[in-house]
Parts: sequence; structure tokens; C-alpha cells
Amino acid sequence: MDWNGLAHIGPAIVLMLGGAVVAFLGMILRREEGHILPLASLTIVGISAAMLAAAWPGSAWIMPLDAGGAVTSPGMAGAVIRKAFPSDGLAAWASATVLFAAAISLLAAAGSRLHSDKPGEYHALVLLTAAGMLLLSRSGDLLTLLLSLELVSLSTYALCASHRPDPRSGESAMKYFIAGSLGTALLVFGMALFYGATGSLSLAARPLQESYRGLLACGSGLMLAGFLFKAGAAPFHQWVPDVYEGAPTPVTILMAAGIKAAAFAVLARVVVTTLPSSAGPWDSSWAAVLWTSSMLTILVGNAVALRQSSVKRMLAYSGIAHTGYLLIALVGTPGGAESPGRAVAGMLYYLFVYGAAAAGAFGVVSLIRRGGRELETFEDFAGLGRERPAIALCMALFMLSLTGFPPLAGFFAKFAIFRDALARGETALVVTGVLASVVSAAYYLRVIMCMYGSQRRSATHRQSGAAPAVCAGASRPGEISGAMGQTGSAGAATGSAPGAGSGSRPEGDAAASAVQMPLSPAPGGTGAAAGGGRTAGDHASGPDEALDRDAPECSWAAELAIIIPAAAVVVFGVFPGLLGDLISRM
Amino acid sequence: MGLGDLIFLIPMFPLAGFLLSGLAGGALGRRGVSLASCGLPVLSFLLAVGVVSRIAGSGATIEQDLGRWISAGLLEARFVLRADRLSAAMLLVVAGVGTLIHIYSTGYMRHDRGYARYFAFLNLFLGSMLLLVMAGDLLLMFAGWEMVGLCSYLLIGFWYEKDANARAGMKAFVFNRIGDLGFLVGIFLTYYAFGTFDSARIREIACTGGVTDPVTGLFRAVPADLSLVPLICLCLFVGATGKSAQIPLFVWLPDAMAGPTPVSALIHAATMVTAGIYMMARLSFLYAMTPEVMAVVATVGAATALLGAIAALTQTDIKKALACSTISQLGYMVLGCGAGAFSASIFHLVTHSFFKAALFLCAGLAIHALGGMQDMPGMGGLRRRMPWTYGAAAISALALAGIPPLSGFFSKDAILVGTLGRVMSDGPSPGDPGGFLAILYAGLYIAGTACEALTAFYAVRWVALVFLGEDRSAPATGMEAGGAVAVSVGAGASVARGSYEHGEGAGKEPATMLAPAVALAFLAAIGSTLAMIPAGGGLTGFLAGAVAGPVGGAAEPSAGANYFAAAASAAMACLGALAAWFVYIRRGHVPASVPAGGLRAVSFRLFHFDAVYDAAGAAVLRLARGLCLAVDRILLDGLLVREAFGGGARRLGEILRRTQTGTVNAYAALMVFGAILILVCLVLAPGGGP
Repeated sequence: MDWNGLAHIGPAIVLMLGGAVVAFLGMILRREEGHILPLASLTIVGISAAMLAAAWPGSAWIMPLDAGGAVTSPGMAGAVIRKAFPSDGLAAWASATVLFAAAISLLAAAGSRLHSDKPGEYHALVLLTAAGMLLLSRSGDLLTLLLSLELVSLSTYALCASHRPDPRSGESAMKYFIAGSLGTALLVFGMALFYGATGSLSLAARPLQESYRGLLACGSGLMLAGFLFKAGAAPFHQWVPDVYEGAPTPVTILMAAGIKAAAFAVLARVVVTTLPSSAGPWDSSWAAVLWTSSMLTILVGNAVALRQSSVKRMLAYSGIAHTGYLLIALVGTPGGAESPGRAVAGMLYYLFVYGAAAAGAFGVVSLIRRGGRELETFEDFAGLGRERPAIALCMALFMLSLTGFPPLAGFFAKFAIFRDALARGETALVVTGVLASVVSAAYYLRVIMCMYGSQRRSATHRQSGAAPAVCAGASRPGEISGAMGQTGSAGAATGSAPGAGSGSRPEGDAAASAVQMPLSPAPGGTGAAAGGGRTAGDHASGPDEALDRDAPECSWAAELAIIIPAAAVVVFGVFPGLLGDLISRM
Repeated sequence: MGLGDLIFLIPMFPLAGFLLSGLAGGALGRRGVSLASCGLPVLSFLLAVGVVSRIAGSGATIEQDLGRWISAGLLEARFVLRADRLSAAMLLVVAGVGTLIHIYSTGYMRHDRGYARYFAFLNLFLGSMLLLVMAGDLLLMFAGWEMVGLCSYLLIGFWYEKDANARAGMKAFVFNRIGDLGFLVGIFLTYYAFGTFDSARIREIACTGGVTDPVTGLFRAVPADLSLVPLICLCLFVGATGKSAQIPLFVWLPDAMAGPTPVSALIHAATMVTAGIYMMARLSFLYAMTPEVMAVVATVGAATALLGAIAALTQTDIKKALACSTISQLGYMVLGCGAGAFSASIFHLVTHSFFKAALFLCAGLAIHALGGMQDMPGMGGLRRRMPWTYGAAAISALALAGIPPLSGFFSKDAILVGTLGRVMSDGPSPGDPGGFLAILYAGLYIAGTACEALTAFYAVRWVALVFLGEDRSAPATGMEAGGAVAVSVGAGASVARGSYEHGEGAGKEPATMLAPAVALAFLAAIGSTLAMIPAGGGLTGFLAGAVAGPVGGAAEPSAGANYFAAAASAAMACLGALAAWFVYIRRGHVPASVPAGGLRAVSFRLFHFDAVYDAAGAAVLRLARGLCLAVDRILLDGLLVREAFGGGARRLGEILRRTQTGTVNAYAALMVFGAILILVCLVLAPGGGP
């Protein structure tokens, strides 16, 4: 038995076994011992990462696949595995990104309270999804590709539905399931045509006869549609905002950072190995399909993101936009095993950097809560710069990196992709991409402006007393002192104490806080408090309660889920050389 | 582990002191800070003495390669420290004078709140300056160059609570920045022309046209673009005008006197401001290739010498007068470089660092004794109260004045002899049929010699106003004088700093402060021996291999020319000194703190350079602001963002948003549509179709 080949898929195997262990643990552990699960899951991800590092591939960037038929010599299990799961730089870097995303997702989940009913299942599913993504990123033939893709999809459907108290969670799972089934159907149909034309499961297979080329092209085209769906590219993008928004935020992290990386890895493999052999005379039309999809994705993602009022939804659209930038890397990438290394390296760098920034931004959304809810609208972010300066700084870094602001990593990622595309002559795409980046600054910077620029609500607005929400705002003393802006952080700190802990915000709570109002040192605050006291019972919702301070005991985990990506965004921007062979190839 | 492996410790000792005082200043306490920050420079100095004695003995260059520093593509810069004869001379000056001034500072800053911060910066400066001097290539030299600039900024604004001091620091930084840009461009051009940053290799390539492998002895020709050399030299000279306070960038130096007096002595008299001269001497072989650029250098130097000397005639602030004198003396050194007398310039650099540092230290003692007063018309009569200080100051001032046999006479004379040598060698030549250069250098020689008289005049005036005559610092007049100072110095030095205890009567000169001043005055007196003692032609002979010799193979000036020049300078110096003696000692004239007007005001305000720069700078800024506003408001904001770009994107977003209905059947329909589109695209492709 040749065990060498197992090293290639060892990380995935560890994740699967670990998933089983975690599921079992979830059954036997008592509720109080729940914190063991995240620790165990993180350990398993760590072991997997260590195995990945140990089996880091050498020089091959995209391994040329063997176009021939089955492995004939018996007892060559290792060879079979190596053929089905090529180990190359593309797979390794995509896997690293996936594991990073899984770790951040687990940390964010540990810091939030969503997996309260069946934590074992949740963690097992995350690990299985990660395993599927690792396998997906290194699938070399149709069978392993389909299986790993389905492993990812099915686990994710379940994960999306895991937050049962929120109806949006179930809705997003259902939408994802229906749309995803259609996507898989396209893919499987495409694979059937592909197999019919080539008689081989290998991605590098050649048509059996020259006249089958058209059949092969149709098969590849439908497969491409399936992959574009997974990556969230136009016109297969519409599930993205609904699913990203409805899913529990840690799951969104896993999807945005992890699945995107795996999907792009397999897409790159198909574009580089399959399309050239199948296309023949259709070379240019492949490029045209990718070109159109990329252009559409950039335009749709950025334009619609401009119009969003929910930050989470804005981030989802921004994810679509970044899919468009990533597709640029694949447009016009020439076939063959060596030459596309540069473009693919740029794409992988982009995937990692985007994954870190998106994971961190979604992490901020899941960590910070007002009144028991995640921050949703832009207004919810107002004043965050004063209330949680470190978190706000991290969020600002994510936004700037996503915009592509030097010297953060996002800038160099965009630069690498645009530079290579220019070298290939894709001027129109690059111009669109750059202009779209400028437009994207409008919605990214809006978050920063909300966090730092605007008061939670202006004093004059409050004094007018016109909107009922104003009164609710006055019912939180921390709000007043913060919004007055003159009392400084000390006032905000002391003032927010009574307002904290009101997770469910009973009606009486507002009145109780209003009584404590004179504590607030700002004279304007007392005046507003009087107004607030009068109408305190009228209204008890709105985006204006104090930040929740009674975070779960594991909130440090969620903070890590923000700080680690922030550090990554800064460090890999300032010292890109730390990414080793990835950078050296760009 | 020979001495050669240890030379990196010379700059490292003070840098370690910087870390020690900077990070653990509070824990060390004043005594600990004093011990660390004076002890480590002493170690550097001792090591430097060892290195110099080795070099003087063998003449070899000591080099230490500390590994790769910058590597990007073909460009590679290594962290090489090198001690040859030129840097050896500088090492002794920097480490020696630096150590003395560190010791002086322990007394001067005794009561300052920022004691540890001060010594941290001072140590950082010393380390950076030693790094600059020992740098084996231009990039490393530039790093040291920038670091000393930073220290200068930090120490000028040391008492940053006062707005004027912070502004003076900023001004120094900005004007240095202009020069630094020139230096940087010069470095890049050098790399472009020679393909290396290493100054020794540049020299080898420039002089021999190739590189000789030190191991195999094989000669390899290196193509170098020598046509760039004049441009390189000009750019580098721009850098030197910034750091060494030459026309037109000199205006920062008088304001730099806002820093503590020991800082003025160390950074703004003895060492940092001479970095430009050191750099030109280091690259003297490049300058020697371009007589035209050297003429420019010499002209600027002579003009600066005259300007500084004229400005020093009327200054009433005790430190500003010395600052103007520094500008003037730096002008002499630049004149020497421009005349090809590089070793004479270095000689003058050494002696100047002695007597000017001594003068500043004496000024510091006087200021200390008078409780922070800096206005010379309000001083006087300190001779009786502080005889030792007076002695040191008088000797140093006479050395500055160029009275034989003190050191200043010999070093300045060497420069003037070099200039005269150019007059004699630069007859009409094929490149210069009219003998224009010879005429120019003759003019410069005359200017330099005339300037000697001015130098002697202001030097004697300075001593007379501070130490001789009646004591004018009586309480009643002191108030007036104080008020006048506040008017007179404006943005520059200030009166009361609260850093020393008032009423610590004069006469009680602390030994830690007096000893360095006296030691430096002693060196200023005997510095002339540098010209004679060491075997083989004194300092000039010592430096002979390290800097370029006389340009164009000009012969050494004849003995007759030598004697003539010496006699002329001595006569001019005595003339100036006598005139000053007559005005300020015999007749006891005391100038007003601020000259009323006329030519005196022109000199007092340094020819109104500041006002012109202010007006020009403001005009340029206003223009730039208008342009930016127009582009930003109308073109970017209005046209692009609001109309074309933002509006379009917003409308598109609005339309597309409506396609996002939220119903999953619509999504599925679009997906199928997309898949069909892809297939159609493939079927319609040229030559295709299943």
C-alpha cells in the first residue's frame, strides 16, 4: 500500500474524523461544558493546518493533469489518490485560505450565542464543510469534484438553517438549497455531457472524436455555470445577498471567505486545464463568457451595494463585486501548466486578503450587538468609534482594505490582478475595475464615516422630540453622554453601565434609565432626559440603544476573530513577503 | 576578533545609550542617565583612538561588512562601515568633541525636567553622526544624514512647550528637507552612472575606469556614464547647502539656536552642519572632475562666508552672533572644497569644531550665570566674575579671528592658499580661453581675505560685549534688556527657560561645564600643530590619500605665494581686531538690542532672506490651493463624482436593486437564462456549433 498519496488529503481526512468526534462530543457533553467544542474544533483545524504545511507542495503551481484513462497497475492506491487529488500550489494556498476562514468562523461562533441548542452538530458541520472545501480545491476529476462540492453544499444548507430562533435563517437556507440544487443540476448535466464526449473523468480529458468537441463545449459550459454559481458571479449571484444576510454571521464568514476560495480554486483549475483542451475553436468565446460575467459581476455588485441600508447586505454585495475582480484574473489566462502561474498567484493572494477582510468585517457585525441584535443598518454603526475604539479601528482597516487602500493588503491584491490583466491586454476590464473600486469607496467609507464622523444622533435632532425614536434614545444614559460629545469617554463609560444588560429591553427599563439620567454630567443630557422620561413608554425599538456589554464569556474569541484578520490585512499589506512562494510568483 | 571587527561598536555605543536613556531613563535616575550617556561616548572615543592609531600606522582602510541591508532586484546595498583616513579624522572630532559636550550637558541640563529625554536624543545624534561618518556607501550615509537631521529637529524643539522653539525645529527640518531632496537625487544619479552606492568603488570606477578584484588582482572595466558627473556634483552640493547652511538654504541655522546651548555647540557648530563638507570631501574625486561645478561651489561658499560675517557684525543675541559666524566659517570650508583644497577644508572643519564649540560652551556658561539672559547689550563685565570662562572664550575668539599662532589662522590660511593656488594654475586654457576661472578665483580669494577682517571684528566684538566693559546686567537695566530681547529675538532663542536655577551666581562655574570649555579652548589654541606635527605634512599629508589633491595637476602654491597669503590674512585679521578693539573696548560702544534701520537692519535680519521666503512660499501655497480647489471642486467633485460617476452608479444600482425581488423562482429563472446564454454564446462562436 502506498501511503504517500494520503498526505495530500490528510488535512481533509483529519477534518472529517474530527467532525465525527465533535459530533459525538456534542452528544455526551453537558451544557456547561459547551466551551470544549470550539476548542476541540479549533484544535482539529490546527492539526489540519499543520498537516497541510507539512505536505506543502513543491514547485508545481497548477499540476498538469493526466489526460489518460484509469490507473492500471493494481495496488497503487497512492497513485490513484494523487491523480484524483493533485497537490499543487493552487490547492495548497486555497486550502490555507479555507482553513483560515474556518478558524475565524469558529472563533466568531464561539463569541456569539447562536449555537445554543445543538452545538455538537454545528461544529461538526463546520468541520465537514471545511473538509469538503479542501477536497474541492484539489479535485482533479469529475467524481471527486462532484462529491466534495456536494459535501460542501449540503453541510452549508444545514449550517444556514442552524439559527432556528431567527426565521431569516431558515429562509436563507431554503433559498440557498433551491438555488443551489439548480446550480448542482447544471453542473451534473454538464459533467454528463463532458463524460459522454471524452469517456474520461479526468478534468484534462480530450474528446474521443473531433466531432465531439461541440458536445464537450456544452458540457464545459454548463459546468462553468455551476462553478460561477458557487462563486457568486453574475448572472448566478442573486442568492448571495439573501443567503449571506439570513445565515448566522459565522456561517457567512465561512461562505464568504472559504467557499469563495474553494470555488475559485476549482474554477481556475477548470479554466486552465479543461477549457483549452475542450474549446479548440471556441477559445475566444470562453474568454468572452468569463469577460461578460466578470464585467456584469463588478457592475452589479458595486452598483447595488451603493443602495443598501444594511451593512451585512452591503458586505454581501461587496462580496459579489470582489468575485468580479477575481474573475478578471481568469479572463484570458492562457492554457498550459506554467504560464498561468502568475495570474493564479495573484488570484490566490486576492482570495486570502479578501477572505481575511470580509471575515473580519462580518466578525464585527456578529460581535457587536445593540439590544441583543446584531448591528444591521449603517446608523447602528454610528458612534462605534467612541464606544469600541479598537473594534472600530479594525473595521476601518477592513473597509479600507476592501476599498483597496495602500498600504493595506487589499491594495496590493487589486494591484496584482489589475497589473496582470493589463499585461494580457484586458484594458476595458481593468478600467472598469478601477472605476468600480472608486465607486466602492462610497459605501465602504460610509461605514467609517458612520463610526467616527456622526454622533449617534445629533443633540438638536433629539431636542426636537419629533420622532419617537428620539425619546427611546434618551432613555439610555450612555447614549446621551456619548452623543453630547463633550463629556468624553469617561461619561460614556459610567453612563452606559445602567443601560447595559438590557438585552431584551423591557418597557420598564427605559423609564428606569430615565430616572438615572441626572448621573449624566452633560446639562443637555439632563434636559433630553426629562423629555425622554415623559415619553419613555412610547417607543422601545430603533437603532439607538447602547452597545451590549454583557457579552458571552467567550467574547475574547470573537474579538480574536476580528483582530487576527485585521492583523493579516495590515501585515500582509506591509510585509507581503511573508506570504512566501505566493508572492514570489506574482 | 581584531579591531576591524569591532568598529561597528563605535556608533553602536551611543545608540545603545539612546535606547538605555530613552527606554529606561526613569528607572536609571539622573545619575544613571549621566553615567550611561557620558560613559558610552567615552568608550566610542577610545575605540576611535585605537582605530585611528591603527590607520595612521598602516595607512590601510578598516572595513566591516555587516551583511545585506537593502536588496531589490539588481539593486543591492550592504551595511558596510569603513574607516579610512578621512573618516578617522572625523571620528576623532565627532567622538571627542561629542564626549566633552555630553559631559558639559550634565551640568547645563542639571535641573531640566526632560533630562533623560535630552540625553537620549543627544546619544542618538552622536550615534547617527558616527554612522554618517563611517558609512561605506552613500545610502547608509544618507540614513545617517537623515537621522542627524531628525535629532537636530528634536533637539532644537527640545523645549517644545514654547511655540517659537517648535517652529524653529520645524523650519530647520523643512529647509534641510529641500537639501536632502538634492542629495537623494544625487545618490540616485550616482547609482545610475556607476551602478553602485559604495563610495570606494565609485572612486575606483571614476578614477581608473574599472574595478580591481582585491583577491585575484584582475582588473575589470566598468562602463560608467561620466557625463553625468557635473549633474551629480550639483545635486550633492544642493544637499550640502541644506545641511551646511549655505546660500540659499542657510536661514534655518540662526533659528536653530532655540535649542539648548550644548546642542548648538555640538550639532549646529561642531559636527552636523559640517556633514555637507565631509560629504563633498568624501566624493572629492568626483568634484575634481568638474571644474565648472567647483567654481559654483567656491562662489557659493565665498558669498556665504561674506554674508555670514556681515550678519554677525550686528547680531545682539549671544548665540545668534555665533550662529552667523558658523554660517560664515562653513562658507570658508565650502570655498576650500570649491578651490580643490579639500584637506584644508577638513583641517578648518577640525579647528572650527574646537573653537566654535568652545565659544558656544562659554556662551552657555554666561547665559547660565545670568539666569537665561541672551542679549549681549545687557551683559558685560563677566570677566571679573568668571575669569576662566573669559580666558577660554578669549582664546577661542582669537582663534576664530585668525590671529596667529592660534589654530584658526592656519586652517583658514590653508583654504586661502588653496584658492590662490587656483588663481595661479588656472591660466587661459583650451576649455577656458579667457581665463575666466582664474579671474573668478582671484575675486574669491580677495573676498575671503577681506572676510578675515570682518571675522576678527565680530569675534572681538563678541568677547568685548559679553566679558569686558561695565556690568550692564544690573536688575534695573536687566528688566529693560529682557524686554528688548523679547522683541529682538522673536522666533529664535528665548530668554527664560526655567531650565537653570536663577540667581545661581556667576563665578560659581560648575567644573563639569568649565572643564570641557577650557579643554576645547586649549585644543583651539594648539590645533595649529595639526598642520605640522604628524610626520609627513601634518593633517593635510595625513589626508592626502583620502581626498582628491589639487585639481588639474596644479602644482602646490609656491613658497612666495604661501608667505604672501599668510601675511595678508594675518594683517587683515589684526586690522579687524584692532577696529573692534577701538570701537567696543576703547570707546565702550554698546549697540542697541535691535538696530534702528538702514544697513544695520539689513545685516541684522540676514539680508531679509526670511521675509522673501515667507512671501514667496505664501504666494506659491495660495496658487497651489487655488488650483487644487478648482480641480477638486469643479472637476472631481462636481463633474466626475456628482454627475458622471456617482449619479450613474446610483441610478444603475437603483435599477438593478429592483431585479433583486427576493423570490427564489425569479433567481432560478435568471440562472437558467444565464446558462442558456453561455451555451448560445458558445454555439454562435465562429466556426463552432455542435
